[in-house]
Amino acid sequence: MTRPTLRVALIGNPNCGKSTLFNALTGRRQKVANFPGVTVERVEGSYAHEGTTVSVLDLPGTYSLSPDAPDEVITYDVVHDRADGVAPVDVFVVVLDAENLERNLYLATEVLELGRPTVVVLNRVDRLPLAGMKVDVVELIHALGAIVVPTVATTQEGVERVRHCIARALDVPKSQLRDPGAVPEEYRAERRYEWIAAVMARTVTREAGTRTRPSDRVDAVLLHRLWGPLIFVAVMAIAFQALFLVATPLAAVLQSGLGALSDVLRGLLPAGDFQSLLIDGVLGGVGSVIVFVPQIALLFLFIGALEDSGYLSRAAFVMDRFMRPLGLQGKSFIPLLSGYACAVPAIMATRTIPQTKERLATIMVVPLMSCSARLPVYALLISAFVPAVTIGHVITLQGLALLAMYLLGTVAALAAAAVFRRTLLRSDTRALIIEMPAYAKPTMRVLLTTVWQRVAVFLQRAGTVIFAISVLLWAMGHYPQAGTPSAPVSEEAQLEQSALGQVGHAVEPLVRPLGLDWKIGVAMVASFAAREVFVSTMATMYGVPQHETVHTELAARLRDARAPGTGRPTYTRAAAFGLLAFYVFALMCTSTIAVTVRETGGGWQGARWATLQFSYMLVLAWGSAFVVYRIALALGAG
Amino acid sequence: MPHWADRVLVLALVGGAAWFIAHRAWQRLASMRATKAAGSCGHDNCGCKPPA
Repeated sequence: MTRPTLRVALIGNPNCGKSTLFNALTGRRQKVANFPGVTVERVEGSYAHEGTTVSVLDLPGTYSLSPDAPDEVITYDVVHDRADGVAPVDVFVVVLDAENLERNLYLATEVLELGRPTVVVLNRVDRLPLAGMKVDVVELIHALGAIVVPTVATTQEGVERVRHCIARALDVPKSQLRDPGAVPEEYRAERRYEWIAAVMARTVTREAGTRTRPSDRVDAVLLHRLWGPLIFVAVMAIAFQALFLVATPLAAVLQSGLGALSDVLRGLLPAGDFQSLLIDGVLGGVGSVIVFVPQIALLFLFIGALEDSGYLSRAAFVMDRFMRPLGLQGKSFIPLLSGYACAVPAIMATRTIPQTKERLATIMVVPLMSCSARLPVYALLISAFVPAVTIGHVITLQGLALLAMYLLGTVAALAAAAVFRRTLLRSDTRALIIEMPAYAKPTMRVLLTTVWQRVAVFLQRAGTVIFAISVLLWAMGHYPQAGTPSAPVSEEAQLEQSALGQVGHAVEPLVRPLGLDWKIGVAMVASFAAREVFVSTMATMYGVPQHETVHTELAARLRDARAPGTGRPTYTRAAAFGLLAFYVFALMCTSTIAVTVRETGGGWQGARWATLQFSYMLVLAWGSAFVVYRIALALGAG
Repeated sequence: MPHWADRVLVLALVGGAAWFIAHRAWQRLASMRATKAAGSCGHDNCGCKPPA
């Protein structure tokens, strides 16, 4: 019987190759959203088979149908047709990792006992010979009473047969497996395991002497108490170095593309407010988001490659003992590390942390890690106020200052996490239960699909808000107008007269104690949308044209700026150090705020967490800037 | 381009951006009120059910 549509849900343990099978089934026709009210990703796709449109829902990985973590609750609700906004499923596809069949069968029995149309996929059968295992598929079909299809999802082997079996699943008899009955849960689990052991004995044969897998020998080194952390640090160092090396030129290409587009617009449109709005407001604002795309894509490519190779689980295990005293666990380490590139994907990466309070604590401190958007601000202030002295012919004082900024942010993030976990987000740090999947070669096609999903979500979520705020910020910087079209005033005078300039003057009492003036106030207010706006705003204020040497020229102007009347430097070194401390701690990034709102529950609940995050970081930033300024003054850096 | 046309285009884009931000905020508020009225927890789009 052919139906116009068929709804299919993929269920399986984490790391069983479920998402790879999903990608193999649906190709590029996918959309990523969230399940209502939770931050569990809802990945859906579709394909056409013999005149039927088959829509496929990739459910989060789970070990059983007893709901514990938010992802497991979603799977539980979908299986029982009670998930909000999810139509009842026609066919379940249970994905089993052939190499870990015994553990995977537990979930399979739970799903089959529901008596719904189910197809069982025995994935990764290509690894069985390496593990010295043989699975009798016919015997497994008899034992489960369901269709079993052997596949290798990474190479598409058996995927067409899965499509065929899904199409016929409604017409074949259902499995006769039934729930062990009204017995306590532990006995139920015990009976299930007894039954699985019997099935394993009938269906699986192991060659003698092959019980130690090759991955066990690699694990002996990678999970070693001493070598493990050292190898991990080396892997991360190489990966981040590569990330900066590759992302920087790509970002420069995008930047020059945006520059070319500005030139085209400048040629097409007559000079005026509309031209300025499109070029400075829209292109400037949207451009500030787009230039992050190479970094985000590479970061997810790198995390994806580590995950698919099986190393990420080992890294989380290795780092667990270092994170535990802070109240975090090994899984928090990757998001914190990703924060060096950009807080937005880093906050999204916290989804792998199942415990809510540990995840929230990680989200709250991730923006303290110095992201790449802080680099232009650090570079400007350090080159202006830190002497370029070489120490021991190896490292410059400026290089040391930059390193100090990164260390300061890292120490603050770890300390803040410890404080959050001991106060507002107090709970027991749960033992890290993590599966060590077999090592595998990552598939480029699968990796690229995942990266594209992440990039699209980032552009869609952060891009719209940034776009609107950039336009509004532009308007605040241009109105009310100081001059007239016939008698224009300088950009600096316009900025001072504008709403943004008035805000700058209004916040001057707050920045005066830090040794700063209203111009810095304006740049700080403008950079609340995105930190790097600080540099472009200061360039506008000091009339430095925006081109490649803007940093050098602006640094010189800042260093040489003199207060009218007194002739004393406008900005002392002490004030610059304080400002650096401010930018280490302040959360000045609309994209991060938007992502925090969404990832902490959305709506008012998310807004409350984002407000707390923004406020504590602002207080920390101002306080540190004040302390650093005063100490530097006392040490004679005035 | 005449000065008035420049002004109209700027007003349209800035107005559109302001409307977008206000509309999103309003949607969130309305969604929260609707769930609260239904006896739910008040979380935006939350799947919470009213207490029995």
